[in-house]
Amino acid sequence: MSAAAESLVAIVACAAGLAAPRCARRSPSNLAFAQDTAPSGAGGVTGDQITKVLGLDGKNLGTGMHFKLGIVLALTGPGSYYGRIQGNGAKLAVAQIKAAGGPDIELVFKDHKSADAQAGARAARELGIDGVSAVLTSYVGDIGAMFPGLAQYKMLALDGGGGTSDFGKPFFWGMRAIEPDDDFTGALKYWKATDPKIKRVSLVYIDQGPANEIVIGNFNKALADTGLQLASSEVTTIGATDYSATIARLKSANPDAVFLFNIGVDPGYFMKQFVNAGLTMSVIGAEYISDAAKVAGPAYDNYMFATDWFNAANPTNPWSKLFLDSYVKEFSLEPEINAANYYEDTFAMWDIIRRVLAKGGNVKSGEELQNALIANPKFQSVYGGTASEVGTIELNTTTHSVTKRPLGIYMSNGGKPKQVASFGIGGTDFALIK
Amino acid sequence: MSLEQVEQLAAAGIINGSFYALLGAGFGVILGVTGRFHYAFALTFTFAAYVTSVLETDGHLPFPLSGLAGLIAAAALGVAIERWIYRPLAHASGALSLLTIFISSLGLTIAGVNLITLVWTAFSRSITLIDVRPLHIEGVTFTTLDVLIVATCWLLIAALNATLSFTDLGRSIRAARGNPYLARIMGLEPDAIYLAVFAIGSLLCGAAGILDGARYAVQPNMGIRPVVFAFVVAFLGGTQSRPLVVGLAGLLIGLIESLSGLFVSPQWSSLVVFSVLFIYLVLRPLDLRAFRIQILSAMPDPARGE
Repeated sequence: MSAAAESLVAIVACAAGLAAPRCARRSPSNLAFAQDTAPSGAGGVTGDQITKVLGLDGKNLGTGMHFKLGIVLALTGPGSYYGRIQGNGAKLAVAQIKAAGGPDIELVFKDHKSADAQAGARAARELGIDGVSAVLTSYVGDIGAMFPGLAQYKMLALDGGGGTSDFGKPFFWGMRAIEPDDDFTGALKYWKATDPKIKRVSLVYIDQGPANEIVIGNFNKALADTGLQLASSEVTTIGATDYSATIARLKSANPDAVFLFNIGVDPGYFMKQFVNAGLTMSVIGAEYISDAAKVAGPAYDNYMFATDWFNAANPTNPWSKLFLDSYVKEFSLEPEINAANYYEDTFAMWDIIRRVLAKGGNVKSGEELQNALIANPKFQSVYGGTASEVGTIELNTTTHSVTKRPLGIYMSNGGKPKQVASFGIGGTDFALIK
Repeated sequence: MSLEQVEQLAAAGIINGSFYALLGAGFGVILGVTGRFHYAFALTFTFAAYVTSVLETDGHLPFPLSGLAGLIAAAALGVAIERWIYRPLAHASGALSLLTIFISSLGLTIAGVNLITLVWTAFSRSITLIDVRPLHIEGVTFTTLDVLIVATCWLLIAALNATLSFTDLGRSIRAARGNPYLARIMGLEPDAIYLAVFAIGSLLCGAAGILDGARYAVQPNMGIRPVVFAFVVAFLGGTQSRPLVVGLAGLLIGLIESLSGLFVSPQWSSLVVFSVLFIYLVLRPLDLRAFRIQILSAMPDPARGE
């Protein structure tokens, strides 16, 4: 069989879900990744720069050690944009960690096909059988489908794509603000502070099955806390492109403002149709990615979003500057939240590895890795910080969600988002930015 | 539920339904004539949109030229799939060809979509057909692009209808659809007719892909959901029916999908559509035929002197 034919067969077999060990390396999505191939030069960053900015003392770095890190992303399907960007962040981190004298981390890619529960569960099982002790997950551990596998094989999982909400599952840790709860608390405060005419707010959100009731309940509570009312709530499907029915219902409900919780390029499709339908009320979403802005075009001009976004226009600390410069050099793209999160989460894994090594532990044990996290649930971050000090994020060891992380309200501003307010987890410390 | 909401949803249903009608007519003519369950219709849909978008945005070709190239690419892809994949498989598989072709079509789509991602990345692209402006009529809002989509879809369906009804090619296609063995005896070449049918069906599919790319965006998985609706429309309209009839089934599906939003959340609209298809498929061979027989038997029969 020729190489081309063999590749075609491999593509079909792997993409059809006939997962075999070789699929992890030759899946179509990995082939798609070839365009952003793992950086060899770590984006022009030297090991010394990394050790200096992170303040490492050169001990227990894991030099020469081989470490398998699972990474389960939306490599195919409507969320494949995420997979590509998140993979870029992790690959850059792997190269920089090695340059800084860290372990030789092998990223074992798996595809959950953009929220396919079966694919997520299978990925967890395959990684567990493969002896992987640590995993970077996305889509909240593929909306929970990976949880049993993570617990069964005791794999420490950090999810840079979503918070844990009320899950708090064993071995699973959400590294972002809680989506969308933390976002809408800030958004409601922003409307309250800037436009007294806004009284009734509609919530448009993606279907998350049993979590829908939690989302609505938390939204109602946040409305009550800010003295606003619910105009309507509309559930949509992940990956939807046609929002005509939702928009007709919104027109009928006639809210003063809309909070939009959908992800990926979906906000782009929504806003394009929202503006074309002649609707002009304020919309604050929970996410911004440039691909969605490209889908929406000028319809995104008045779109605002509230989230823990990585602002490439304003790197807040020395590490975020280093990350930004190296990412741009390596991929010729500005990094977004998804790249930044998987970059810093890979570094967080290295931090945990160093802690385990310092105690003479076994890094192939997910349990020992998790214990090291619980002992000190604090990590360095490319978010927050100051001009001379890197930022930090902290985790709650009961809920497995983030307790400290900077969030903001941004205006889309023609593809150059501009921050107009800042707040913390749960809407705390809200402040307008002039 | 307000009248304005009903009108708005009905307008959305007509727009979506016209799009489904075009897809269903294209898919139906292929399935009805060749018997191929052509799932790679989704790949053709996507490929046409990508060729158009790439030529328009990267090649800086004006839309008429880029769109024409997209349509030609779609037709060429459809013909190539029939000539070099389906036909050899059909000859080799005999009675099992329906399943063999469906499986190969599925694999081809998965591979093709991934190749498109490899070549053009997973980033979304755009197609600009016209200046999109909102239009407001009696509280109902739609866009200039929506008007263009509806007009284009029905124009193409009418053209297909006319081609099948009034041209030699159309008569040959209908002959091959009715009885390919008899058509061969009469001197027609079903293999050549199949190629023509794939070209026509893929052309319509390509047009739908380009319109969809202009309305939403161009991205690798854009063809998967629409092609499922094409199946539904083709089955509901009847694979042996005239394109206009299939088109009306598409319009009906669009209206049902959209107006279901009055009663259930839009997330369940697909469930409503498939429920309608299921009920129709269950009832059609039984009750509707029996109903027709009842009506016929109740009518006066001149042969009996009534």
